[in-house]
Amino acid sequence: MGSPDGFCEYQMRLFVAGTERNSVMALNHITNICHTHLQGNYTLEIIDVFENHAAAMAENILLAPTLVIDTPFRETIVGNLDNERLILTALGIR
Amino acid sequence: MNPAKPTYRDLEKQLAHAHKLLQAIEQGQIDVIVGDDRHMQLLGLKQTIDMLRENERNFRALADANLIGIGFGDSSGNITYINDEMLRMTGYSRADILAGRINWETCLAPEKRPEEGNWSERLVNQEVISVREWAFLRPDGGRTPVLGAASRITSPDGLHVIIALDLTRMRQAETLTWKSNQRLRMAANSLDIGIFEWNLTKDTAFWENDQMYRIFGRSRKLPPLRYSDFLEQAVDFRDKNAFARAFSNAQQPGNGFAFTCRIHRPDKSAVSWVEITGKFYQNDSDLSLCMIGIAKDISAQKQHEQTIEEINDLLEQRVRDRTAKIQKQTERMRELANKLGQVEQKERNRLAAILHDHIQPLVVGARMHLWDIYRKNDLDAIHVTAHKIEGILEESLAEMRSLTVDLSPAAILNDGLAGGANWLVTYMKKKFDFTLKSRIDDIIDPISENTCFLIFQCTKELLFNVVKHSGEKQAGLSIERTKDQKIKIIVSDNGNGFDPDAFVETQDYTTSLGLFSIEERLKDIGGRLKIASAPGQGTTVTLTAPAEKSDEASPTVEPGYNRRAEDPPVIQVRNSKDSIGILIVDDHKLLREGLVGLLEMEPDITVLGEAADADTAIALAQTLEPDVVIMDVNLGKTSGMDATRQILFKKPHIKVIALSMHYDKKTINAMYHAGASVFLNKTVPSDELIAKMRDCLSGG
Repeated sequence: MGSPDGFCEYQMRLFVAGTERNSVMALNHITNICHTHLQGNYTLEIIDVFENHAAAMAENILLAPTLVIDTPFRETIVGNLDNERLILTALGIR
Repeated sequence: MNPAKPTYRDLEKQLAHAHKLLQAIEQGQIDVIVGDDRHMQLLGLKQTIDMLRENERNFRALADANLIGIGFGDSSGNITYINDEMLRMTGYSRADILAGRINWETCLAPEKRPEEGNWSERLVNQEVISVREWAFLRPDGGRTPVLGAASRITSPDGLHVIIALDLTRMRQAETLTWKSNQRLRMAANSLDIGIFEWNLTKDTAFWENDQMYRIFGRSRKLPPLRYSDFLEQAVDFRDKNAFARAFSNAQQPGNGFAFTCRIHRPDKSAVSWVEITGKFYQNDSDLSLCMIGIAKDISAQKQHEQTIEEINDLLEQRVRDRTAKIQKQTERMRELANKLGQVEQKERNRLAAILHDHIQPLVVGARMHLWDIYRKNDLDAIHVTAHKIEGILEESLAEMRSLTVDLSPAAILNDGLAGGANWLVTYMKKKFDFTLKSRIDDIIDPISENTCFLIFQCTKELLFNVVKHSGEKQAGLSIERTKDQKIKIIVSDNGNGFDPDAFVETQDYTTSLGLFSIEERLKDIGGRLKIASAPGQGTTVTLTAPAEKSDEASPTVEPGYNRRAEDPPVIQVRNSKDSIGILIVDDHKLLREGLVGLLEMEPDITVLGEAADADTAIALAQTLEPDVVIMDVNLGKTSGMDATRQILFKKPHIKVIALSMHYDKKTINAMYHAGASVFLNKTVPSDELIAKMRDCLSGG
């Protein structure tokens, strides 16, 4: 998911817990935000902690869902991502 | 190497992060906590909780649907949840339940408590109380029957669930069904028919009511007879095969069973007749072949039918006998009619012979003497010839009187049946030298004319039969009037006797009118004839006839026979006070005219008047005051005797001279007893009549 030319201004990883309710909500919310505000200039990696919990542990992720923004600023947001303003702030858009 | 000591800024960031994590957790935005195994355990727990929640939702939906009563309780017996249906069944309010005032044990009816009580203990010791019937005791004292079960949910805290299904409607339906069955059973027991059901497949029988046992004479303690036993033990051997055939035919589709047979009861009492009807059907539950039907004891009906049959046979026999008798009687009647015709012709011939041989020659002789008178001038010779004529006429009168008596005795006309009976006594003695010992009731008269003559004729014929057949010279004759106003005549003799039945069969009606004739004639007027006789033991014949009293429609025979009314009497004025005044009373006009002509030749005699009946005579005697009344004896309703008595009662100085054709002693005595001065026969010579008249006026 993300820009086709390989360089993206926004790089993100979303740690989800299968198809749990909050995880699904979080995926929906970040997808909407990317589509609305990032115009394809982004990468979003989805990591299911049930399948790859080692990655979560390596990143010191304790709760799912959790969004980790790598660029432009390192930021971690926990929960179902229903606070759009908070996410846009973290992305530096607002 | 020791990790670097976190700065305040680091701590502040970590705190903020932790705060965010807590906030997310508090807000329920976290699905899992990621760790070595913990997040997997949490995942399993969550899935379990979700399943429980879904189950709970389903259970709640079930409870809220209120199809069945659902409640929860804890180990203390308190009710922790109850749905509306269960609440309705208990009859309490939700507030009562939730306040802990009511628990399951108080909800149960007392009669159920010993069994179902102490729920907590039971549920601790066993997980399930299986389905059974309970009854909730409602606050109003009523019961709600339920089908309930209970189950422990968690152990050992004793949380349990109770499920109950309201049986009220089912119980009501059962009660109605039971009552209906009871009524049906009572009705079945009150019927006079037995009701049964045979299961042929299982060879079992059900006798549904008492009457079935009564009909077959079996106690209810004994099992009802199965088909095979029934056929062997109960059905009479004469009907067994036919019964089996009919039973077999009835098993064909569409056929019914109806059979009447004789049965035997275990007590060996008389054979009874039973009518059995039924219909086969297939039992829905086990597809066995059954017959349901009724049995009826028709012994009484059969008995009646047999009685009716016997009566019919008897009646038919009687009808045949009666028809044969009627045919025989018809034949006899025909013979009788022929005989009557012959007798009538014979009687005509006899009368013609008497007229021709006896009276006609006399009259011819008299006429020839009259012609002789015309030719003679000598008065003496005329007198002689006149005397001859008178003699001839007297002889003629005697013949005619004899004939009259033979046809109809004057005694009947004068004295009714009693007179006729007395005449018969005399006649039988005179004619056949046959003695009749008579006993004649004084009060047998008056009776109707027809009856009188018929009885007289029958009695006369009976007596002729006695003279002819008995071989005796005497017989008894009894005539009486019975209390029921019938005339009863008994003619008895000690002679030869006969067999009445054989006599009736063999009697030759062509030669005699016989007893049959008498019997038939008596029947015609409502009388009857009874014969008691046996060969060598004499004969007693009893003759009974209704004695009608005198009325206008039925003329009666009394002394003084009413012959006819004629012209009104002639009344003349007396010529001289010195002459003898005469009143002539006679119902024959010619006789009156002859007497008038005879008397008026006498210069000192004046005929003052004539009367044709007694009433006129009595009236004229009052007004004309004659010296002499010449009175005919037979005048009609009021006889000459009565007229004489009444005339002399008012005018005792009048002399009455009685004239009659009948010169019997009884009549003569009766007239003298009535007051007549002289009794003369109508055949008396005219000069003697005149001489007697003068004698009685002069006191001779």
